[in-house]
This record gives sequence, C-alpha cells and structure tokens, in this order.
Amino acid sequence: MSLPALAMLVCFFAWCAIGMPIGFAMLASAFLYLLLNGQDMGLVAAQSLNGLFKSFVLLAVPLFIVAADIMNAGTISERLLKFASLCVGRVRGGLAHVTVVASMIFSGMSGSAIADAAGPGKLMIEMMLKDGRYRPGFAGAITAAASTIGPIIPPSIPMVLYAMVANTSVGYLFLGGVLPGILMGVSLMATIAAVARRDDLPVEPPPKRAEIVPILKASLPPLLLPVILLGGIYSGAVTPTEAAAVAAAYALLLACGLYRTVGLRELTQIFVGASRSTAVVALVVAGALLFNYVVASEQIGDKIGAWIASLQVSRLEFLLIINLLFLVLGCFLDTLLMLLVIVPIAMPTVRALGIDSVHFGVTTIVNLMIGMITPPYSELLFVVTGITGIPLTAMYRHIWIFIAALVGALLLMLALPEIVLWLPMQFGYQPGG
Amino acid sequence: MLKAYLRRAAELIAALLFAAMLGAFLIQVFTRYVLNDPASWTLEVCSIAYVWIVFFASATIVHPRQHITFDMLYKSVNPRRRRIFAVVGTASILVMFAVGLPGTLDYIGFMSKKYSLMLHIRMDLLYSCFGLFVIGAIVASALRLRRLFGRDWQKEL
Repeated sequence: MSLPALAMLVCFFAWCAIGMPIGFAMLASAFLYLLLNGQDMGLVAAQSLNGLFKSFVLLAVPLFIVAADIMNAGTISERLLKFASLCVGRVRGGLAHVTVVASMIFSGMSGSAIADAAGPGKLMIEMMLKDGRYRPGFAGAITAAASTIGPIIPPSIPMVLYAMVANTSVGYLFLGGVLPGILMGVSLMATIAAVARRDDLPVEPPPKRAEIVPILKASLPPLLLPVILLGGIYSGAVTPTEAAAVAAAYALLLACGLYRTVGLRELTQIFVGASRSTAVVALVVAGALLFNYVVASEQIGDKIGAWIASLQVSRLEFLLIINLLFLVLGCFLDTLLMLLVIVPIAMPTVRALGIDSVHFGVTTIVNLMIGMITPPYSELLFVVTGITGIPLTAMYRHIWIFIAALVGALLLMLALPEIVLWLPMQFGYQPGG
Repeated sequence: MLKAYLRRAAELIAALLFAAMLGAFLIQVFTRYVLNDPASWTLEVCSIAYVWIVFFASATIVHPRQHITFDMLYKSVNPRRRRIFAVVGTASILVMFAVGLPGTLDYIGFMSKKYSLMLHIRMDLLYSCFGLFVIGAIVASALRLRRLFGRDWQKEL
C-alpha cells in the first residue's frame, strides 16, 4: 500500500473515531489521498456525481424508504398486526410470535430493518406492554430481533447496495433472501416457544367469530402488496427499481385514497423525512464510491485475496472466518460502513475462492443484520429505545438468546448454500464464482 | 425567525424534489407497462432529482447529528474532551473541503461543454449541487467552529 493510501485510511478511522459523520470522513480522506498523490481533486466530484447519477438501481433506495414511511404513517402496519394476531395469537407467548410474523410480512414490503422496528415494531411493543403482561426488556429485544428479517426477505435496501459494490444481480439476491428470511423467522419463533414455556408467557384470547371476516377484509389490500411486488420482480416483468416505485405508489394509494389517513400536510412531512434519509444513505454511498476507487487502484483487495488464496483455506473455512470477523466488527461498526467499505475489500478473495456472490451477499447481509442487535453498537436497540423509552440494559439481558438463534440460522445458511441458492436456481440462476 | 423561514423553504424544496422523482418514476412505469411506449425523459428527471436531493438535503436540512456517525467514543468522554473532538473534526472538514473546492469547481466548469442525453441540459448546471454541497459544508463548519469557541459551546456538542 502506498503512503497516501495509508494516510487516508489512518485519517479516515481517526476522524470516524472522534465522531465526524462517516460520509464526510470518507470524502475528506479522499481529498487527502488525491492531494498527497498529486492527483486531480475534481475526481471526488466526478466519482460521486457520476456514480449517483448513472446508477439506476440506487434509485430503488429512496423509493423503498418512502414506501415504508407511507405504510407506517397510514395505519397499514396496524392492519397487518391484526392479521398476524389472527394467525398465531392463540399459542403461548402469542404476541411475541405475532411480532415475528408481522415483521416477516412487513419485510415483504419494506427494505429496511429500521423501518420495521419503527413501524410495526413500535405498535407491537405497545401491545405487549399493555397491562404489564410482558417484561419491557423482552418485548424490546424480540421486536429488534424480528426486525432484522426486514432486509432479508425482499425487497431489501442492503441488497441493492451490495449488488452495486459486488456487481451482482439484485433480482437473484432478492430471490436468495426468501428462504433465509423464513428460516430466521422460524428460528426466532422456536426460541420464543422455548422461552414461553419457561417463563409462562401469556396467551391471547381467541378472536370472536364475528371479528374474523372484518380483520381479513381490512388486511387484504396491504397483504396484496408483497404479492404484487415480488410477483412483478420474479416474473421478470419489472426491475427492482420499478417495483420500488410501484410499492410506493400502492402505499400512497392505500394511505391517501382508500384509508384517507395521510393528507397533503402529512405527505409533505413524509417526503421531507424521506429526502433526509435518502441524503444520509447516499452521502455514505458517494464516499464509498471514492473509497472503493482508491482501494481498487491500490489493489488492496486483490493483494489480500492472493494472500488468503495462498493459505489454502477451504471455502467453508473462509466463510466461517470472515463471518466471525464480520460479527465482531458488527458489534462496533455501522452496517453501511461494513457493507460499502469492508465487503468490497473482501470481494476479490470471495471470487478467487470461487464462492458464489449471491450466497456470499445474502449470508453477509444476515450477518450484518445480527450486528445491528449485538451490543454495544446495536442500531436497532437504539431505535427501540428511542421510540419506546425501554432502557438498553433491560434489552441487553434478553437479546442474547435471540442473537444465538439467528447465528444458528446463519451457520446453517453458510454450511448449506442451497438454502440461499435453491430459489434463485429455480428461476434460472447459475451459481458460480 | 429568518432561520426558521429558510429552513422551511429548504424542506419544501426537498419535498418537491422528492415528489418530482417519485412522479417521474410512476410516469415511467405507466408509459412502459400500460401504454407500451416508454417515455424517454422520465429516468433522467429521476436521476437529476436524486442527486439534487442528496447534495441539497445534505447541505441544508440534515443536521450534523443526523448523519451516520460512529459515536461510541465521542459519547463516552467528558464534555471538555468532546469539545476537542468536535473542534478537530469540524476543522478537518473545513480544511479538507476547502482544499478540494478549486478542483471540484474546475470539474463542474469543465462539464459545461457537455449536455444531458435526453433533456439537453448543461451538465455543469446539473452537477452544481455538488459545488453547493462542498461550499455549504465549508460555511457550516466555519460557523460551527465559531460556536465551539464561543460562550455556549456546550450546546454544540
């Protein structure tokens, strides 16, 4: 590695450590690299502008953000919860199971774990805490753990970003996430079932017969969304970006037209909020474009890849080691930073070892989502605390068992790539390096 | 008063840009799948609105603390040390972005000879949002430094 590249990396991590926003730290260290290298400083503008301007698939990110925001503002999440409650409410620990099922359904519409925790998650916690039936720490922990499924079951914002840095098809990644997402849900529900017996969690009263049909009717329009969305993408009729726009339009139609819960004033606020989230994500993407430009021109990833290949590790050994590394880093680093900076450095190695990029992508995103609930840097627990006031320490006590359940699911996916790849292969995907 | 007014205006512009992006995309989907005659200009409107949302919003309506930040260390130290962190970080942005500004403006100026494919808009106009963003970051950093050295520095942390 050249001296300017070393200076750039050192400054970048130092700036991040003292609390400079990650996107700014990336851009500032890119300016530093170009300055020390005597290169044209205009490259920063050129790379970030052209990268954002010409990436069709990146446009899906703001559209998925706004779709989830509209659904959360427009009572759509509430309707889904009632439906989920009808399905699994009557077993022991019913509401905890409902949280997982609702998260899985909502996952089929939103692409972000944060949106999951902030929308249906918030409502679920309120329901669990009513009359003090569930301990707050447990309610917060299961909600955060369930929302990790959000970006695994498609659509998925992290998958869009991974597709960009790894040059992989978003459609096949989306397909690859379906079974792993269901597996994560099942493993969380199995854990709840075990805990429910031990702690004697409450059972919900069975729904009255007269309520069933109205609940089904009310939840049908929102339930159609995952069908439209996934059907559109899988039949190859629309691209993921167009599907994102359709999702946003459908949510808008339900919230403003059918249910009339969102008016012009709320809509403006939603758009302002979505612009803000879009800018925050895209600024890190712009910084990462520069960063990856430097990493590529210094051939850092290729050198690491050649070194690891010389160690003669098997694919599974490599996957286990890198997943352990990601889990440890995930306790401290931001998901976007990992996805956009660390993952591209690992990509040449992944290719050199002949690991399939869809399998690697899906398992890595599952891993990074687990990182979002592992203390101390657990973004999802922060969100739950922020919206409900449940103390972090109360959730820390209960989150470990769910982390263990999700890590178990991850290990299964690593050992059996078919869990990820079977569905894409049914739609013509050819696994390879 | 003026500050709140400007902020509201910036929010409205961002919301309008977002609405334009979403609207153009829906027209794209509609003309392509319903009319079977895709409009050619819609994608470009989306891309333009997108880069403007990103750099305009970053420069105006996103508060420094709303950006994705690694703040474990920052939050664990006492206010006096935190102030040192903030001064070093803000000054670094100011210096590095100021160093990068001439090259950035040169690049944008260089793009004035190029036009966008569909709408034939001069590319320097489209890309000027990045210049605004860099200048905005420099000005915001300078103002923040002044506040960090002022009497109310604790409010800035």
